[in-house]
Amino acid sequence: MERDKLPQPIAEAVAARYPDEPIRLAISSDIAHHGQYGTEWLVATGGHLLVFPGDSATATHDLALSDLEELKAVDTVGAGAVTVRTPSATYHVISYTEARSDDFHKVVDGIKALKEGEAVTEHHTVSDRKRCEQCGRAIPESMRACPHCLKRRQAVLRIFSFSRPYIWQIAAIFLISSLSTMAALLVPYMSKLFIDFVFRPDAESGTFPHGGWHLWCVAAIFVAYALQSFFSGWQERLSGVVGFKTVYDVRAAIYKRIQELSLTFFDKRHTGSIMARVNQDTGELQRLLVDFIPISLESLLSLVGVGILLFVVSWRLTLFVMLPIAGTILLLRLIVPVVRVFFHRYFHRRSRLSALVNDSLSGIRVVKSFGQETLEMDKFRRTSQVYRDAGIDLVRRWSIYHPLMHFTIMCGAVLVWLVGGRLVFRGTEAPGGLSIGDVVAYSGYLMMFYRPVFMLTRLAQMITNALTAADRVFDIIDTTPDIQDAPDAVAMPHIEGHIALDNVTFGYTRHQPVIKELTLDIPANSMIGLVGKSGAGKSTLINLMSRLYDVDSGALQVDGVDVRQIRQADLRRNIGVVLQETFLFTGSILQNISYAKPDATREEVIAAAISAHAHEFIISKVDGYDTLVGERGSRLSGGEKQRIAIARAILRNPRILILDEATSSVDVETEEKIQQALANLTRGRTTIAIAHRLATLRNCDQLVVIEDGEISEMGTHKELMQKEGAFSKLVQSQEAHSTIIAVEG
Amino acid sequence: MNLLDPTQITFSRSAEGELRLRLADGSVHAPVHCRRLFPLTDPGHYISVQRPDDKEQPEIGILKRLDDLSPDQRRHVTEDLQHQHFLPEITDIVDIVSLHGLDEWSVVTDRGPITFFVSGRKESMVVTPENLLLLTDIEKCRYRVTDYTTLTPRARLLLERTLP
Ligand SMILES: Nc1ncnc2c1ncn2[C@@H]1O[C@H](COP(=O)(O)OP(=O)(O)O)[C@@H](O)[C@H]1O
Ligand SMILES: [Mg+2]
Repeated sequence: MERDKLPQPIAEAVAARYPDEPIRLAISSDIAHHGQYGTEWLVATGGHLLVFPGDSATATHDLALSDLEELKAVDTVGAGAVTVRTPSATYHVISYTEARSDDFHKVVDGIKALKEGEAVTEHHTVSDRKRCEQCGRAIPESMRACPHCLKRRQAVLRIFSFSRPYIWQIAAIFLISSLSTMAALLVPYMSKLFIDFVFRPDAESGTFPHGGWHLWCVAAIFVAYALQSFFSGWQERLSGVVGFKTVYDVRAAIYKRIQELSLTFFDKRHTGSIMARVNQDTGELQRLLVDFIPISLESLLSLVGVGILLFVVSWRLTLFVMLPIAGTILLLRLIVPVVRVFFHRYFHRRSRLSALVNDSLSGIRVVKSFGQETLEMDKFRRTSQVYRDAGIDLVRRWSIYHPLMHFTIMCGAVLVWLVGGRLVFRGTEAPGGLSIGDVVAYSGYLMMFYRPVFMLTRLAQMITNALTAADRVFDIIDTTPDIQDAPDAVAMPHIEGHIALDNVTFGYTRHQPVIKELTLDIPANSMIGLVGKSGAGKSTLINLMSRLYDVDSGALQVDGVDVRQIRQADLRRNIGVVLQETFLFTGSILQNISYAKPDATREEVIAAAISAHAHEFIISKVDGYDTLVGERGSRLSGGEKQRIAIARAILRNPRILILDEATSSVDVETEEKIQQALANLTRGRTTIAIAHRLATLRNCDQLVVIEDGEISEMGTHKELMQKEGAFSKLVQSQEAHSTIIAVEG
Repeated sequence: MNLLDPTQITFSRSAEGELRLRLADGSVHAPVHCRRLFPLTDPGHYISVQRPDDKEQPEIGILKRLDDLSPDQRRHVTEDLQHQHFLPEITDIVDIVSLHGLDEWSVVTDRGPITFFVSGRKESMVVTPENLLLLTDIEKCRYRVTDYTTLTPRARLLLERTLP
């Protein structure tokens, strides 16, 4: 608990001042009173609230809880403050950043409880920030483990655990790539044979005594090339297959988990970042598994093979050649990071340019109608200029570094002829002496040596990228859904449709309840209308009923069973929803309607469309029910989309039907018709309807007026109109409004 | 738009730290809060003065130019602005370390030095065409660099390596 970390001097100061009041709550802030980062302490005893700056023991505020008229944690932009109202003024006593907001809200709730003489519970105490066991650093709130010490190895092992089904293929890859490397190593050796053996004339006769070997050696070199090509092709193919299969498995695992996760997960994250994980991050893994690991495997093998051969041919020469090799590696280490920044800048600018083009083209109607073409052109020119300059910068650097690299490498070759040449002059008999063939073969091996050196310098970066991607992928795979079937969940194939809310409180973020201690009973087969201003919490309420979210406190029961105890599949099967935001998938009208019941017959689909008054407009389309709706239904009007959504819900034939402003975008006449159809449909099932036009809710058994997350009125249409409360006021203002429209129209 | 005449109004602070405002007609409002209307692009102009207690019409008026106020009046306002809008300006980048899909930034800001974690995703780093950089760390705290091209070359190198 954070209280335990309260500096001793402060604890003593409080004890000295209020000896009879033990400290109940303490929390440290991260902004000091002068607005700079710093620490202050807020301490609450049974009767007083004190604030201490840093570890000084002199309180800057000392207030009796009984003097406080009001106490709250007020969030401002990026920060917040505990604000008090005393008889003389309203002011803040301690500030905190966004990061500490949740904690301060908890503690303030606790102090309020103290003020009321209630006990402090665990809801009010702030757990100490977790600290890493290995390095002792504080672990950020939203992370599970210390980012400094997380074991990288685990992520790697887990990627490979997805490869386990392919273990034999992997073994084969290893074998084949060693064979391919061996074949490649044969080639420089053959050139040595040619020079030193086949083409060596007899000093006296001038003939070639080993000329008969010529064809054999050519054949050998031919076979070596052929084998190398064959094996490396085979290896590429095999590792591609294993890589793609592994990544397919990873992608399936992550997508399965995403579909299982509850909406709270999606509320907290951008769709874009989730998409990036499915596409980009798995793509990154794919690059590692499909391209990189095989290549580095091959590189490593040839590095070892070539390295050994270099020493075997001439260790003296190798000692010299090490010099330029070391130089190359050093240069790579120096240059690569710098070049990377320039590449990065270049790509960044490029994506900025394409974002700009995208933005301006998708808004081309607006551009044209405001006649702002020149403005757009200027914007483009400016961004394009920056992109151009980044490209030029990059090329400038590259045109220095690249030849420099090449030159350093070639120094190695020059050195071979210099030092190797001297060793040739010694004669092959002398210790360390070389033949001409040796030198040629050596040059060949040396060139073969550089490629893997280059590859392996990129290894570190590639692995880092891939591990980062792997971490993000596993972060999702490891997330447990907030809403899960309880282990003892009951199967309820048939639901009657009796919904009961008992003291339900819920908020999307912890300290902002949207539904407040709401109690409501909806008998089976009744029709309930929810009414209230926009933002009152109506949609939230039905989100709770369909268990897209779980209540924070209180209970929500269906047929007397807590929803958390009902198998989700059963609950969902019995609920049909028409959401406020109509969403259609890319595809045909038929596909969209039958989404609710994939095995529905065509007749059923048509019947549902007729009930929803969608049939009328569908038959006027050239492609009828096969009409493509476009991306998110963009080729249909708002009213048409809503009618399809209603047809979708009708087709489902659910026990509980939820209509969230389902007819808000259709004209009044069609709305009337749909209402009639719904009246037929709503008979014999529980219906919860939210409607913008209050007149459409006349037929409800019960109207519930929601105001700020609480029920303010309840009764039939008639009762509420007579009562002249909030509802009749809403109706009146709407009528006045529609008369104005009627007059103007 | 109700522009406040800087010569006609008086800000004061109570002993406890409550900000108060006396208007030309002699009425006194307390507590009042100040908010910049263009916190990122024009912090010196258009300050909205509000009384949070009045839910119907919280805005008392708009102060057009911060510099029109006398120095001590201005101090009252800037102090409150600092409190109402916490968006530290990064003045130098000490280091950016890549860890496990996160970047650990050690920076110096106008509110003092601080270390925080940023996830390497696009939406946590927004760059505008005017080179304004807005960072959101994993705990939802925000930081800004008004023009990142004015940072020291070293800081810029570190930064551009991490830009998405
Ligand atoms: N997914 C969400 N995340 C955070 N806040 C939300 C979310 N959905 C709705 N809210 C907030 O909850 C409150 C109630 O919203 P809602 O239930 O949609 O109101 P309405 O009565 O208009 O349907 C609003 O203040 C809204 O901003
Ligand atoms: Mg709604």
